[in-house]
Amino acid sequence: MLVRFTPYAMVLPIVLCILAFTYWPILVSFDLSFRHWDFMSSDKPFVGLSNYSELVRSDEFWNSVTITLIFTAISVPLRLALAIAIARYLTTESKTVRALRGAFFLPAVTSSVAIAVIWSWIFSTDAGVANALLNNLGIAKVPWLQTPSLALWVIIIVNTWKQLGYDIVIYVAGLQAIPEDLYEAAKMDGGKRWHTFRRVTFPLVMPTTYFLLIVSVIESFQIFTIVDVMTQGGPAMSTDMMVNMLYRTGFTLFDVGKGSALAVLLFVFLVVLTVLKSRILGKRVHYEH
Amino acid sequence: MISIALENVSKSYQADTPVVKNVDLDIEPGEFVVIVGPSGCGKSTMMRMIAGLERISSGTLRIGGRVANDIPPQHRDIAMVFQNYALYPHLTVAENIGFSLEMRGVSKTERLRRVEVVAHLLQLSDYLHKKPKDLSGGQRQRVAMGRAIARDAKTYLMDEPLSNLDAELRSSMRAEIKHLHRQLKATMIYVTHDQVEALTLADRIAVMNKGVLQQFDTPEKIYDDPASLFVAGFIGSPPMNFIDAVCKEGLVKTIEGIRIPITCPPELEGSQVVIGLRPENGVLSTGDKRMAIEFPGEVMLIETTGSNRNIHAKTATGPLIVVAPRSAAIGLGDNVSIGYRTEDVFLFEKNTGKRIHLL
Amino acid sequence: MNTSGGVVLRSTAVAVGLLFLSPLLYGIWISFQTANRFFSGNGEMTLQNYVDAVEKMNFLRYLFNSLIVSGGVTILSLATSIMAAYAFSRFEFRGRDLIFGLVVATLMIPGHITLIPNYLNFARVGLLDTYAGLILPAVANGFATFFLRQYFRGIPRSLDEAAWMDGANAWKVLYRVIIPMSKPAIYAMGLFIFLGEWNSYVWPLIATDSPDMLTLQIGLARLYKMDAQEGLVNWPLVMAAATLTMLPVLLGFALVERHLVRGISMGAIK
Repeated sequence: MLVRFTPYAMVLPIVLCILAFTYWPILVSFDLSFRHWDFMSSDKPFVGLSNYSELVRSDEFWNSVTITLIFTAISVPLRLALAIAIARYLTTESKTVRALRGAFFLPAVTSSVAIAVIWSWIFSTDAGVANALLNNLGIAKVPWLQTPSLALWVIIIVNTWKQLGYDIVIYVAGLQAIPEDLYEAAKMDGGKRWHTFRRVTFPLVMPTTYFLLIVSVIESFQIFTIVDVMTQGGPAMSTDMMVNMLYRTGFTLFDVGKGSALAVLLFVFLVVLTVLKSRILGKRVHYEH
Repeated sequence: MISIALENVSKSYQADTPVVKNVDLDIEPGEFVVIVGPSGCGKSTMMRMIAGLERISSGTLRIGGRVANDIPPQHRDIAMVFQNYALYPHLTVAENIGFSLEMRGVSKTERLRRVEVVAHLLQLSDYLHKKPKDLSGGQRQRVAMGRAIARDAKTYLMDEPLSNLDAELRSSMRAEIKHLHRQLKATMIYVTHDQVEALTLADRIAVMNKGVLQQFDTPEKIYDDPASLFVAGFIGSPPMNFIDAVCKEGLVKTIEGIRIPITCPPELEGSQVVIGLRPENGVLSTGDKRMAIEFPGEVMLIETTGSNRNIHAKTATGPLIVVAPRSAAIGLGDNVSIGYRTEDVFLFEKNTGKRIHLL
Repeated sequence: MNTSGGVVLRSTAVAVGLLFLSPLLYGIWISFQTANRFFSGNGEMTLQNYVDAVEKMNFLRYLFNSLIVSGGVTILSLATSIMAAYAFSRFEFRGRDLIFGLVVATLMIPGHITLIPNYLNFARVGLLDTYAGLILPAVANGFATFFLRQYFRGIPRSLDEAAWMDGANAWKVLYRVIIPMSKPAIYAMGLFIFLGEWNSYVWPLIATDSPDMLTLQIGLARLYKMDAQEGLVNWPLVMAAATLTMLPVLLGFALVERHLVRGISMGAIK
């Protein structure tokens, strides 16, 4: 087509946006991570790697890394196991099944703040449903969100409840892609249900599992909203995720340099995971063809 | 009416594999030119270059004498009918026809008037408010034509516009297109792989093969005086009979050794040639040989075409087809002889496919 | 399957679905209770919580802000994505693949890395606490661009070409042919963007401060956090605010559930 400048005019707005609000800020983040600054003072002295070394030597940093890792290590397998267990029953395309899939999916598109607020009520010590149920069993009130050993579990439950529908939908798509005749072959061979699942279904949805594994790890490392609303990292830092620490460092304590260093570390880690994801996706394409 | 000229035009998508090679084509104002050739011969690419939908790799395109290589399609004043019609599915018939007028800023009342005129001309008046999906194939074809002629373009391009219609509709649309051309008095360039469309519609035919323009001439000349083996074989139905031969001792001799009383130009002595014989020029006889060249053979197959019959015969030089009147009393297995006058023989160089003009 | 089997299946499905969504449903139920009924079990059902949220807690303003911000982001995202997707799907131009790569790569860039620099830049030019400040960082949408480019590629080229021959230029082809033919995809994408922006939390949390500029999400979080710090949460009021916050999603979800699910599976499987 004999068009020269129009395509550039058409991509210009989005290019300006990504440069101004994504790529340029990434560079600025790297730059700020080598400086000392508090948002206010006029000079931003270059301090080399000292923000990073301070981070690595602080308990606060390792606490948030540990908490984020524990959160990820528990919630990701939990989500995937529940999702595949449920998805197996939701692969048909009837109205009922679609509606049920919709029900599972609803929390995934619902406001995290509203969900966090609702679950805060459910786990609230005096007015909550959780304690009311326990009360019926004769168990005394538990201060869920005020107990360091329990709060993280509550966060895991809420996050799992919110994200499960997404995992289910992806698993359903993966399961639907498995040719029916493979099941029939397994049936002909006299396979028991669990056996069929373990030997036929599970290996065949492996690519889906890989995909979800990495996507949910990436996502878990960025958890913020639910924690910010329900516990703000407490009690006693027991739910202090990395992004919560980043927010506190940058926007409450105004330590721009250290906040940026933390952002850069998390960024590099997540980008590595993302590259890994595209590698695996690439492999999966191979596998399907 | 405007002239269109291609000067040494080539098109290649990848280096070294041109789809159109060094084409020269001079189209007179108001002329109806049909570009014909087998699929993949580059005829559509050529049309799309004229339209401005494909960039010209090298050479010059002139529209009305002006170099037009870099003029975008919307400024070339060319209307086009697409093979699959390319009707806008979200617009009504009236909006489809009026689209080009709207793009040119024609006022709404004038647009409506013109749409009505075109619709009337193409018998679409009852369908103006329907969407393309509610129309039959023939009606869609008409809308596509209507969209092209709604504005007075100086040139019309038609890319196999009839190929999706059934045979009956095709022949009536052919007549309509011819009629339209006379009314519009515009230059028309029409691409097809169908030689009947080419012969019936064209003022001049451009025969293409493998990206090369083989011949550009009137239908009569193309038929009577084909420039190459390809043109001779492509135009004419049933297709021309070809017999492999060599030039030996000044005469043409078939591979099987049968001598044909035609003098070979001396410079071709010893080279391989191809004899071409039109089936409709052959004279079928059962008894004595009266023609200059006779091929005795046995009737293998008889096809009735209505007024005539195509007789397929097995001869010493291979199969031959001849058109015989229905009255000829011929049956399967009959021994016959197919006779030709020497002036009915076409001769081609085997390697280059070039026509050898006989004296 | 026989009918009784169908009934069993359906009632099981309904039971499972209701059970799963019970926290949500129960929360909404609470929002209609008076504080008295909530704490003691006897009392009235009421709409007073909604009236309070709107009148006393400024939630009408938050709702308005959320509509402006989500609407603005949706319109601008669609506009930029449609133009870019059209250019990517139809034209060959120098740098096309690189630019497309940069746009799609934004999908994979974790958002936290841009928070501090964007805050600084916006503070410098005075865009904090403004609608523009809330909207701008969310305008570029790699997913929408990718998705629409795929969709546009499915529209036959001959339609564009017919429009070119009819005298349209690139913009008119886009406006008169491509966009009208992509309406379903554009509507679905628009709702997708709107819902996503509606739920957005981190950037509005950082970019706003004055009570008049808060979005619903931030307003709700503030209302709850403030109550929680004092140790006394008016749960029915908070639930009314939460329900208001979820409302467009609950309404919109029914409309686009299928598109959402398909879009998401497509994003995963490609």
